[in-house]
This record gives sequence, C-alpha cells and structure tokens, in this order.
Amino acid sequence: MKKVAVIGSGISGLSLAHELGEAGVNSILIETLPLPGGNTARFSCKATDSCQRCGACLVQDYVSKICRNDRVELLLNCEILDSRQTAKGYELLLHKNPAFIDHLSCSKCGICKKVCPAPKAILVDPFTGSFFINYSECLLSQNMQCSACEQVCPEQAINLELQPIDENLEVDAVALATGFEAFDPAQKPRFGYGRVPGVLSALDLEEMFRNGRFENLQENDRPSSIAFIQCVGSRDSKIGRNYCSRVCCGYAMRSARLLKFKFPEIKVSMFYMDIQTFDRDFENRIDKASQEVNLIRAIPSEIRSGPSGKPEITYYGVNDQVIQEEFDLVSLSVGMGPATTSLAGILGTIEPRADFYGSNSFNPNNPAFKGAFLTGCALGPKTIQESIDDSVHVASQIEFYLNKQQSGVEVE
Amino acid sequence: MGLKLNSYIKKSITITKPKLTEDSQEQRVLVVGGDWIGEEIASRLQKIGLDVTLSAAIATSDADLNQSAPLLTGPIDGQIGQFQATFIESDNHTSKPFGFVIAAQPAKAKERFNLYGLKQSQRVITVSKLLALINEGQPLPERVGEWYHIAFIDDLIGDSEPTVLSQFVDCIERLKSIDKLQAYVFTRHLKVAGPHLEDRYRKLRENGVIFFKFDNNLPTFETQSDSYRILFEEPLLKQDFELTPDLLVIDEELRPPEDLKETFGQLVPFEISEPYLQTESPRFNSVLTSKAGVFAVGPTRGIYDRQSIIQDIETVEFQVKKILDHSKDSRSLAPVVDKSKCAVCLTCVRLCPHGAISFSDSAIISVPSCQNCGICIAECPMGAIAYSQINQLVGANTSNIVKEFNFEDCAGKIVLFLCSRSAAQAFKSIEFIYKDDVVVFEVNCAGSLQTKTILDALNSQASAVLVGGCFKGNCASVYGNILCDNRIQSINQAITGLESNPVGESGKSLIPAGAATLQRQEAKAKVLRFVQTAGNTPEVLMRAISSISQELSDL
Repeated sequence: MKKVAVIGSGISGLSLAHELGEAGVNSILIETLPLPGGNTARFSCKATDSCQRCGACLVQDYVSKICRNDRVELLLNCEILDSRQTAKGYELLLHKNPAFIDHLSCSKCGICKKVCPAPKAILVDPFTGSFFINYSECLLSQNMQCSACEQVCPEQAINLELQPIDENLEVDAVALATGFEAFDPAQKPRFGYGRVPGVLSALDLEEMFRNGRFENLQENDRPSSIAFIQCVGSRDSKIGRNYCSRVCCGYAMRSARLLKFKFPEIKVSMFYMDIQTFDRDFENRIDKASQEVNLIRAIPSEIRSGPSGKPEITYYGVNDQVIQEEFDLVSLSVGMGPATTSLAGILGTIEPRADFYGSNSFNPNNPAFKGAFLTGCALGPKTIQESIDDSVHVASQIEFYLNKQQSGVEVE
Repeated sequence: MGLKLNSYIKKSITITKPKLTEDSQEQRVLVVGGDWIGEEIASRLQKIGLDVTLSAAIATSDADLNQSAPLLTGPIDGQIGQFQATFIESDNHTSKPFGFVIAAQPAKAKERFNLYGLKQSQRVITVSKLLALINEGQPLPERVGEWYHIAFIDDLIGDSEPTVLSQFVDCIERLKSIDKLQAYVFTRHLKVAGPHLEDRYRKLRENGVIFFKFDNNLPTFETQSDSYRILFEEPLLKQDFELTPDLLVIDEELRPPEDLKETFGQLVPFEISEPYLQTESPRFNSVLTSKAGVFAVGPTRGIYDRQSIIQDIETVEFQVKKILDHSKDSRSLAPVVDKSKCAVCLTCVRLCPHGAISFSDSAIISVPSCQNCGICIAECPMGAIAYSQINQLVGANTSNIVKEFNFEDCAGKIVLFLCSRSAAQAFKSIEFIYKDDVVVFEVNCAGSLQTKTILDALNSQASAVLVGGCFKGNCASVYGNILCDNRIQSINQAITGLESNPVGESGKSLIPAGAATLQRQEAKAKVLRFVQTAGNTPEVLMRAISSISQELSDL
C-alpha cells in the first residue's frame, strides 16, 4: 500500500491529507507541535454579523474530517531528524515526543488543569476538547519536580515518565506543507515593535480577538483609535523581499471591519502603498471599507511613544507636510516569509531561501526532488482558501505520480 | 510501552454505495467551454477514457450556429449521473444524458473605453489587443515624434487585479526592443499580489518606465486628432503635465462568463452565488459547487490568472476520477420521502440548497446529490421527510424513522442544538466548563432542526434552548442557518404573542403547528435563542450561554 508523508499540519497539510484519503491514498500527517492547525489555528474568526470569508474556521472543519478519515494518521509532537531519498521514495527518521496524556482515556474533566501550578502548561485541545501538556511550559522542562496532574487524574490517563522514541519511516512520497513564517516586525526598529507600548503585530491582534480580550475591556479602556500599517516585511527590497504577501490587505481590512462592528465609535486608519484585491466582490467590500476606514497612502517613517504615552505615527501627508498623529493601538500588518528552518531540516536538497520565488527554490521537474511535493504557503504567500485549492491540486499530482510508479512507468 | 501518540480518535464510518445510481451515465462528461480551457479539460478527460462532449454555451446569435461544436439550446438539468442537456448540432436538436457537468467558459474581458470616456481607434486599444499585435508580430501605429510614447491606463476607475497588471508588464517587457521607447503607467493601486510581479514592476521602474499613482485628481483626456491628450497633475510634484501618447493602451475588466445563469441556473442557486457558480460560503473550495457532479473551473468561479486556471483544470480531472474510483457514502442516515404523506407542494424542491430534489408523483431525493443537511426534513409542511438508515433506503418509508432526540434528562438544564460544522466544534473546547449544566445535541446543520423538535425541547423540563449555527454567509448548506434563525424568531413571536398571525414571504403562516399547545405560562419561563458562531469562536458560544443564564436568573 502506497504511503505519503505530509509534513506540517496547517491548513495545507490537513487539506492535502484529507484529499489524499478521499482518493484512496494513505498518509501520515506529521506535526512538531502538540496541536494540529499550524499558522491558521492562530487566526481568529473575523465574522461581524456575517461571515467575512477569511476561512480561519476551516482548520477546525478539516481536523474533524481528518479524525473521521481512516486513511490519515496524525502524528503530533513529532520531529523529523533526518531524511534520505531511497529507491522507493523517502526514508525519514522520526523523533516522537510523548503526549503524556492519553486522549483515549481522558474524560475531559479538567481536574489536571485546575491543579497545575504553571498557567500555560495544560491546555485544552480546541479540536477534541481533550487536554494536553504543553511541555515547554511544564515545570518538568525546567528540571523541577512536579507530578500534580498525574496524581489527581481520576482516569490515570497521565503518564509523565514516558520517554521520546526514534523511529524510521519509509514512504513513497513526501509532501512539504511547511507553510510560512510571519515577519518579525522587530527587524524594522523604526516601527517601534517591542519598544513602544500599543504597537502590535497583526498576530498579536489576532490573539486579542481570539481570547475575547476586547470584549472583556471596560468601556473606558476600549481603544478609541487604531492604525493598520501595511507592507511590514513585504515589498521591501532592503530586506530582500521583493514580493507582495498577498493576504495582508485582506486581513487588515477584515480586522478593521470587525473592530468597527464591535466598537462603532472607533477611528480606524490604514497606511498603505497599494491596496490589493482581496476576495470576490472586492469592489463592494472596498467601498464599504473605505466608508469606515481612513485610507492614507503613506508608509510611516517612524512610530514612537507620543506625549501621552500612546504610539505616535510620523508620516508625510499629501502635500509633503510632516504629520504626527497618536493612536491607541497600532497593528503592523506583517508579511509572510518562507519557513526556512523546517525546509532545510527535512530535505537536505532544498536550501534555506530568503524569498519565496528565489532562484534556488523548489522545482518539481528536477530529479533531485523526485517524489517530493510542495503545497500551500511553502510555495509562496497564499490565502487560506488558495492553500486548500493548492492542496487539492497537489493531491491530484501525488495520486498521478504514485499511479505511474505503480505501473512501472518512469515519471518525467 | 503502549504509547498512544496518535491521540486523535477515529470514528468508524460506513462505506456503501460504490456506484452513483443504477442507470448512471457516469462515463459521459459535458464540458461547457469556449476557449483553450474547455479544450484542455476535454482532451484530458478523453485521455482517461471518458466520453466527453465539448459544447459551446447557449446559442445567442445566428453566427454562433455556424460553429462546429454542438451548442446548448437551454439550461442543463438533472442530478449527478443523470444530467440532461439539449443541443443543436448541424440543424438537429438532440437531448443527451451526462454523468458530470464542467463549467469552463472563458472570462468576459470587458473593455473600459466608455468608463474613461474614450473612443477606440488605431492609437487607442485594449491591452489584449496590444498583446495580440505583439504575438502576431504586427506593426504598431507610426511614431509622431522622435520618441515613441506608450501610455497604459490601469485601474483608474473601478477595480483591477494582478492578472491585468501582469498583462501590462508582459507588453512593456516585450516592447523593450523598440528604439527610443518611453512607457508610462497611469494607475491608482498597482495590483502586485502575484508571483514575481513586484519584482518585475521594480525592474521596469529601474529601467525608466514611469508609474503615476493617483488618489483623487484623476487624469482627463482631450481629443487630439486620432489620439488623446492626457492632462494630469503629477501626484508627487503637484505640477500639471500633459502627454499625447503614440499609443494609448486601456485595461479591461475581467468578469465571469455572462451565460452562467442561463446554462447552470437549474443546477446551482445562482441568485445566491451570483455572479459566480460557487456559493459565497468559504466551505465551497477548489472547483466544487453546491451541486454534486457540477464543477466550476477558472473564470466561472472568479479565477483569471493562467497558472491558477491550469491548476483548476488538473484538479477537475482529479475530482471526476475521485468520484468514479472512490465514490463512497460515509452517511449512516439519509433523508427519505414518505410518498403517502407527500403533497408535492415542492417546498423541498425549492429549498434544497444542493438541488438534490426533483419530483414526479412525489418528491424524489437524489441519494448521490444529497449532502444530508436535513433542510427538507425541517421545511416539509407535511412532515413527510425523515432520516432513515441509509442501508434501508431502497423501498424505505418513514417507519424507519430514527428517533434522535430524547429530552428526558434535560430537567433544569440548557438544551444546546449545535451545528456540526460550527457550534459543535466550538463547544468541544469549553465542554468541560458546562458539562453539568447543558444537554448537547449535534445536528448536521441548524437548518435541519424541525419546529416540532424545538417545541419538544421547550416543552420538556429544560430551562432554555440555544441553537448554535454558522455565521451568515458561512453555512455549508448555503442558507440553512438563516432558515433556522427565521424559524426560531417565528416561534418566539408566536410564544410571546407579539404578532397574532405572522406571515412569511411565501404567504404561509409563520405560526408553527403545535405552538398553540405551548402553555403560555410554561413557555414564558423558557428562553429560546439562536446564536451565530464559528468552529473557532468558543467565546461567542460562552457569551451566549452566560447571557441565557443571566436571562433565566432575571426571570
């Protein structure tokens, strides 16, 4: 039976494994983290009183599909230490870290979470409702003695003595769904990220939405103004990123509309170079957005703490005059970069790249990559729905490749 | 050491129904095309041994009739495995059955001369016309002065997209060999969100192509012999300039094909998905439409760039093969019509979001088209449709009804009906908090909840009823969430007596049968709410539950 290793369980990996399963191909979905979902799981739902078609909810949908798909095996807490090409396909050396909590026995009572002394060490898996140990936050990882959760568990589902195991895995093909890394805005010091209170990256804003932190604010603490700065880490030749990240105009606009929906009084400004088309019915969406959002064609020269301690943005106005304006919050719309580290580690032949479309990037026709496939943001910036489209397409390519292998015909 | 690393538990599934239907035409595929997209799909499907008919869209003019390809004469109808289409081919009308239908018409490139107040001429052409001239090696209009000035108008009014910008970039890159050429691009937003586009744009700029980006003060055009003089305020220098280009190249607006409604309107709910074949909900991805066996490729779903269209073409082949080789039904229950109760009122035919219901002497649900949303069950005024075990489908009647809801253990608790696509997923991560306070029923779609079921829950000992469905526009059953919301509003209206006889759009009384049996006193102590949520918004569900608890304690 042919088997495919899908590396990375973000939206691309999930949808690829699901599609392969639907087409009768077995796959092993490998994820280093204790949870599936990848970057997509960090995004919040942007629905106002209706869906804004961001697609972030689809990750939940695909996890439940994967759980029902007999042809997909999900390996969490699993790293890939080494890989080599074989006559058949690939051999991967897996390092499986223990999950500590056996989900089959867990009754989801939550007692372990109540007794755990470290606040972020035991988390609820949003997909199954089970609990899992986030080892990097657990006291054990800091060489401290603690077995509070193990002792209280009424189902004896927790075993903290489990050790990691290394294992070889032979597969017929490998699909890299390693996604992207968000740009670290601290690399652009003039935007004040990490120094100026109130300056957030778009991912911080996502987290605030997800945790319902805006709803929990008292009336007086609610932000009265927010600025979105576009193209942070995109379209920037100084940092070697001569490309548009494609999704940021969309997510900033959706966030802006969501904030406007939650707090109709809030003043939203958006600093941009060119607004990129996002989604169907764009004209209509941009019309609505431009009524709610103050669109400013300028990228700020500096963001610093203003006189009242809020972030103050300096930019050039239409007539070249210097304008300084304070906002309660500033969200930096960080762009996408390739996930360099994981790509380099998995297939030695693919080197770390500074940019998605660099000259040394993946080429499916190169025999060095025979049996290797890339999908989703590993190939370049994509929206959630484009990543799914991509995975369905790559599933068809993999199926085609495996069939050719089976019938003994050499695949060009 | 007994490690259970694969912690995600598999639910067992039933696999039945390898074939679509008994008299299925599954080897026959109808591709509605018009350019290379349709041709490519047809040739690919022929290669894998399918019987393909490549047709042009519905005949609209006499000129069309002279084409060699068979022309559709009307809308396509039917179900997967049994679609019906009528053609005119060398003066003969024929009707043919098909297993699959693929929509692959070309994009409509709408010229924008009128939008800018310009007239087409030898020196004023569209970008695709210029590309054609370059491809065919045709000469461009003569230069007037020493330098050859080409002005490109992109996205000055309306909206553009990366595909159009890449057309401009293609043109300029390929005109490099012209001596003493100066190119100008007049735009508002440069749509650089495509592979390599930003890079190519920068290279053009470094090589002397001038880009003007306007915000408000758009350029004006003045007639000048056989061309136009462009008058504009340079956005950076704030100075007035004028330019009379040797060639003025205008962008086009890429639109979906215009005959989608006429051709596919019987198959998909086009009034909702307009102007595309794919419905708005993000759950319809890749080339899938809400109708089984109907696929939308490229422009028919709003995809215009060549690379993505090629991707769609390969995907559609995969989707057809997948159904042929791996068609399976993972459902254990499916809706079935009780012929003796069906009044052929066509409510279900009208409301099925997947176009799965047809009728003759009673409503007929196509098993392979049905996606199990259950809307028909909830909407049938005669109560003639019910879930039945799928392996008992043949000759089934509603005596096989599966009793799903039992409200015996609900005393003092909140009953939650949660859509499996959204609310039920969201609830998983907060389940441990509410374990003892709620009773949960997972439903395929909020739209499948019958009035009777909701009333039964209200009439039980439960303290309140909360229904969680998808956000508007996100429903996998297109509008099941809205139908459910409406139903709950009308039940609440009936209970509170706000309106004595509410009437819906269809003219049907909205007072649900059975509402009168609710004792007013009894009903008053209850709360019935609908909440829109998504699988990743447990906090919305939490807020809804706590606001109900608040309401209950206020009562």
